[in-house]
Amino acid sequence: MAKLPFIFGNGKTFPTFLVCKTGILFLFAVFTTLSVFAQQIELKGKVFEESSKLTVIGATIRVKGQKTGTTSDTNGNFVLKVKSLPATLDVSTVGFKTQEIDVYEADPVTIYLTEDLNRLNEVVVVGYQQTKKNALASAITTVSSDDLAKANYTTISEKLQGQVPGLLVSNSSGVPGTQVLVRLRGATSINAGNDPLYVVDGVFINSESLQSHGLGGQVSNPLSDLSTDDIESVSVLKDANATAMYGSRGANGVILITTKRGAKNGKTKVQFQAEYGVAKTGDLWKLTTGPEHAQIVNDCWINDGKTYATRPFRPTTEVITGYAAYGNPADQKTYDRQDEVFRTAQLQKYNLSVSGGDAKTNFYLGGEYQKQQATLKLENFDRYSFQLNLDHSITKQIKIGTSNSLSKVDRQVVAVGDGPAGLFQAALHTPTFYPIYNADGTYNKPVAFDNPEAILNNSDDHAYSLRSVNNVYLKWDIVKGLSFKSSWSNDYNSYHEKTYWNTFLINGQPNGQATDILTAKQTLIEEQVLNYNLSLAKESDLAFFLGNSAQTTTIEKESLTGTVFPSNQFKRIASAAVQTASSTGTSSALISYFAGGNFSYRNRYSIDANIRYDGSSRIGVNNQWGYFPSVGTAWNISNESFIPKTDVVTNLKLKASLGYSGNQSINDFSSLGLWSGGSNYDGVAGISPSQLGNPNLKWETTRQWNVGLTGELLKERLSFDVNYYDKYTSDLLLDDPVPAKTGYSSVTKNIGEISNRGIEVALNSVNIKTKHFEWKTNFSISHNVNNVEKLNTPITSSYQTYQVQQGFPLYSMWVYKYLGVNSQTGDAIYQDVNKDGKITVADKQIVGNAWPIVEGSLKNTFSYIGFDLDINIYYKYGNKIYNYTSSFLESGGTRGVTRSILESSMNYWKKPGDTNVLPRPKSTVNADGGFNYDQQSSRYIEDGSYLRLRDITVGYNFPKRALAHLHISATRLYVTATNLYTLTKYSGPDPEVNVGAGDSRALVQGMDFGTPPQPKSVSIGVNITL
Amino acid sequence: MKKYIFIASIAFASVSCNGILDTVPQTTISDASVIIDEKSSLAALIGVYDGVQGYFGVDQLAHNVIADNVVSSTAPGNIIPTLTASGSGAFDPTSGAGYSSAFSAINRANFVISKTAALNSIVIKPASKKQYLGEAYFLRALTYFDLGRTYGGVPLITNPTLSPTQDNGIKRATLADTYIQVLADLNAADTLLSETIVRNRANRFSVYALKARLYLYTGNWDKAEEYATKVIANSTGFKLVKPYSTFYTTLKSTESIFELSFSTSDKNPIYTYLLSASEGGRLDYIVEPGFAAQLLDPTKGGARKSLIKLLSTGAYEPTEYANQDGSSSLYVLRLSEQYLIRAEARVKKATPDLTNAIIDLNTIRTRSDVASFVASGTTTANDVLLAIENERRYELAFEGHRFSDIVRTGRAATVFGALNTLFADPGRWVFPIPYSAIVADPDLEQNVAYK
Repeated sequence: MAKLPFIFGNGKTFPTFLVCKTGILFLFAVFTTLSVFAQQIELKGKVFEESSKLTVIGATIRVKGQKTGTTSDTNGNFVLKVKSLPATLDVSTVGFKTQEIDVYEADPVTIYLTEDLNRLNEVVVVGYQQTKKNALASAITTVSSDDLAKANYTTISEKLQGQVPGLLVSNSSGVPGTQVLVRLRGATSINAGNDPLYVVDGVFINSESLQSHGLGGQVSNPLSDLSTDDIESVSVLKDANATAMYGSRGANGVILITTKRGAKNGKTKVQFQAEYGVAKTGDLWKLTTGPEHAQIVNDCWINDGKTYATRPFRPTTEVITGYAAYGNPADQKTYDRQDEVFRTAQLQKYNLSVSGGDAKTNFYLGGEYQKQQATLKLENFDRYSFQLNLDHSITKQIKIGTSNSLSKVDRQVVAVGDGPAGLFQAALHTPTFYPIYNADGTYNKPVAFDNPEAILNNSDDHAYSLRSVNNVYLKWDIVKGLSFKSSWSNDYNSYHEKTYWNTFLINGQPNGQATDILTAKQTLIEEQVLNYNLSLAKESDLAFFLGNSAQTTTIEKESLTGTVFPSNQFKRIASAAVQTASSTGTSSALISYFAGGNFSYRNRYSIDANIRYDGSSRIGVNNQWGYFPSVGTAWNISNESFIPKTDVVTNLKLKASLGYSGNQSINDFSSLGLWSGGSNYDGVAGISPSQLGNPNLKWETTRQWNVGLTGELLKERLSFDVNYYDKYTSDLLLDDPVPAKTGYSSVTKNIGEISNRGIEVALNSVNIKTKHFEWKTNFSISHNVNNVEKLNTPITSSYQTYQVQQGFPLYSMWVYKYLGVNSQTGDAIYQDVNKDGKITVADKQIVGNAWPIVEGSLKNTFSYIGFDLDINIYYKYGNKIYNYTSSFLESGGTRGVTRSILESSMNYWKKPGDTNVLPRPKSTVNADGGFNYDQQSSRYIEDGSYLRLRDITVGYNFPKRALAHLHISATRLYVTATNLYTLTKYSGPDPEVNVGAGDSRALVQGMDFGTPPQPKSVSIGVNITL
Repeated sequence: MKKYIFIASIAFASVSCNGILDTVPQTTISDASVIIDEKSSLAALIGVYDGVQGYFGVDQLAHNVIADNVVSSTAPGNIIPTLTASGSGAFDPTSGAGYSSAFSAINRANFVISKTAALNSIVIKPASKKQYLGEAYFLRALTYFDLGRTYGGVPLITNPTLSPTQDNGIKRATLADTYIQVLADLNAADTLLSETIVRNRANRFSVYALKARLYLYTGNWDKAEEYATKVIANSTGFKLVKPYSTFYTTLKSTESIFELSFSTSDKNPIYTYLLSASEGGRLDYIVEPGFAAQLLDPTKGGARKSLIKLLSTGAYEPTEYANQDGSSSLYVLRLSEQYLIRAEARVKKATPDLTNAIIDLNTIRTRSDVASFVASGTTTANDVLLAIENERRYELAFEGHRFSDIVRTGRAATVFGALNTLFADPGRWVFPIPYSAIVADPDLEQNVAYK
């Protein structure tokens, strides 16, 4: 074979034989067909699958000693010509054991293939690498579409919950399409982001919300643009050996999503799915009645040392200047607002896909419409998505293809919590004794919150996202084993938010306000990879890859605001008297060179090494380029000759890896000293310094080693995968606080270190397998310990209740430790850490964190003739929740008439000797400097452990024979129920809530504040395959 | 047998991709290219005003809340009892009383002072250069003055920050030294600024007025009287308006010496703390009921009853910053304060001048339709001082003076201690430095009472 002419590059150690956006690709290929020999004997045959007796399509049939071969057609038939008889046919296809058959006569042959349960010799493609599965030394979990949760979760991340050991997935709210907290093997960063890198069909996609307009802790999830039904499989790359190939962005793990493709030489398959469901919110917060509210507020008033005469709840006839009177406690009525804002939500989903292919072309065409309401009113999620995947072989060596997903998501949204305009918060936090309407029928708005009915009747808040993820590739099998793939991708993501507040709403005061914000983010990627796989003697293999990629990301944002509308009939900014507009944008770029190799010897020992060299525009000029190397090794113990071949141990592999990956998810231009405009005064444009520069800024680097043991036991009835890892992140990209006297608050620096150590276990077993009945169990458990190893200055979160401190995990809660009530005085006792007799800020301490000690899932799947049953349990143990809602509302009357009060607050100290009670209602400071109802108290930190029966699906597959005359090949009817039962000690409505998950840099996680709880739902559906 | 042989020739372009890494920010410029001519110098000066806007409102609000004119709406009747350095309790937990935003304004002023001074007359007109420098010196003086009265002495930074470590080792100055820095800046501004009155930009009269206040705080009575007189004497430029409410219902009234302007596109956010929910605010703070009664009393508040508004709940809200569109100005220096400064200085100076002090006091009372203070044979200097103290409380009710007035006269234990025993401790007569500032700066020591 001819040698490949490489032209080596300019100064960089890697040949820049590839092309970037600005470059030009010259590719000349001339194909010449040379000679054709005549062949004499025609052989016919048919290929069947041994157990099912179904025909096998696309099996490769070769004649030994000849270069010729063919593949079986859609009916399993094949025809080929041999030079002479007898001949030996070699029949193979993916997933089956290769058969050799000697043919002596020219009669039709029937070939039975048996399934190869040991698929370890399969060549798998993971990212850039193509290696035999048994040579893999990395910790990778692949979940196929069949194993993803059966229930209709809106985003792929929700479907993965519990399925991948080490991947913590936590829903944040009961609203579909909103943020989900995803952390792989803990968190490696404080300020540079902790979200994994998502790659769909080779396209690095945006996973950061483009939402600009605050919705009270609710953030849209860009991954919800993708239909989950078009997904074929998800591979989660966990250790450094797998993630180092993604270099500067691999430190938080990589989630590779592969969409469905049509089968070659297959019958065209038409699949239709329709689903309808309803959802309801379970228990909400229990609030006091009006009279109870009045009683506790009056008690607090007296305990504060104020006069009985001026108490707030007294007859309205007792007028005292400056002191409001709300009537006697007994006269108070109770008004429920919470139930008003929730509803029975409906879900409709329709999905149609067509896939198939002939010898040269295969395709997949999918379309979906999903209309999903949240149980919280005013929240709707409508997704229209379209997927087109196409592959075509131009010649035997050259293949082209494309993957495209196009989607539009229309959302009706409403602010939910954390702010006066939040629907759920307004309903929850408005004291129950206030009527909803005034006597004259107008909205009563007695406290800072909007009237929930006013929001329900007047909210006009929408967001429209448009997403296009596209990839085209050309793959050229240059010579046997050597292939070149050129791939060009685009991820376009726009988010258009349109909001109008009329004068009935706070934000519309005094004369109406509207905003219109359009944000568009586009990433363009080119990627060129050369792969070389070589099979050596003695079942040894060698594989190499070499590649380059370049990408640019731009964000453009236009926002318009209009205020002073003529009346509530006019809603568009064109009608507003005051119109302001702003336009801004930013961009970043990344260039990478990468290479790797894998050598496996006799199917027993394998070693691989990868390296990536990345240059990023975000990094300081002095350190713009960085290396990310890794090595891994695997030992297939079961293939050793000294291990007897038994049915007890079918497979056993030990693997180990070590490597480095990076993180660069900081703001564009973080390294530069900058001045910004917009510092205006009196109508004159002004500028001001906005950022301190740091030209030495470099990558955050995570060193990770991993050891794992994978095996299959008892005739492959039991399989396991156990991994231990140790991640250590240094040079943290940190917004390091600087002294206020400098005029800045922080500078982005490389300081600080974080470690994550943990163990992951996955167990899969086939408990019972008979002809008609099968019972399978999947169990996973993972444990991670996160620790901030080094940090100069503690970093306090915006809520003042979380702090990042050296020696403690991220997401640690920093409060006064509540020790109980002094049974004599009724006052709260807090731990006086520095023993100075005073409760001061020095006594705040870390008392818990949002990380679970263990989390995982237990999934049982049963099938009996046509029935299938899927039961999915998810559990999380040892994490803490900061119940911020109760820190506001279990307030012992200290918030007077401004916020509602939780029923639990009524259990307060009334007389000396009372125990097991809350402190006496009192808002003034205690003698020691503490406050009875300090919000920053460990009293509001609760055990967030839970075990949830997450979903149950029962399905029935109609017998094939019954459908045959209708030309339907399969029909499945199913019923799914989600969130049926939760075992938890948490006092709020839902332990799986989290206000901070929207921002991957947020230091506050595990906080419950005004997020709607997750609903219970039931849905029915049908799946028809033609 | 069929055999394919292909001949391929591939040429790869070796194009350097590194160029795409040179991305350029679109809405920002780097340190090196700012303040290079008159236009950019003005833009940076405007940025200083923006910085002062950023700290001043919070600082003024904090001073109102810590004193006895305003109380938390959730716990009416208490002088704000819960102020702690960590921000737990009822005070704005993130910024304290504007400590870090004040230093941001100072850094902006330092840039203007150092960089504009270095510009030559080709790129900036000498008159503009003098004016911009003078304004920057004045704004720095104002900011350091507010920091001093709020926290006690603070670190004195007069150079622009180019590196996060350049100010390492600079500890807090004493309050006296902080005020010396303020005076130095005011003296510089005095020589640079002109007497052209622009009420929302610094000019020589703003310098005189702030000097009068500084001398009052530092006990230099003669100078306080002298500088207050320099302002009052300009009777064409400055006049008390009538009725009282005119100064805050119109922008840039003749009574205003220096006010910070806001607009619908550059909002003054203070109304959100003070207005009721139905007016788009959060009503975090209300008027202390006892003080509301005094303002409503025709013998005390008089026309100043317009400062408060009765809500349906029976509580009163302040109305000075009531423009819901955020366009209310913040009043920094007002003519009536100059009269009251001069009155106090005239009582306290070496040879007290009670007669003229009472005339100044009555100028203010008359304007608000309150009967004049009439001295009798038994009237002592202390009686007049108490009358001035009360008059300041009514006249400057929600402009952040009350706390500092009571503290600087040493009466906080008497006046506030009755309402909150914590004020018996003079260590509590300053604000705690925000916790976040303490942890970020090893040179910064917390005020003793809050350690």
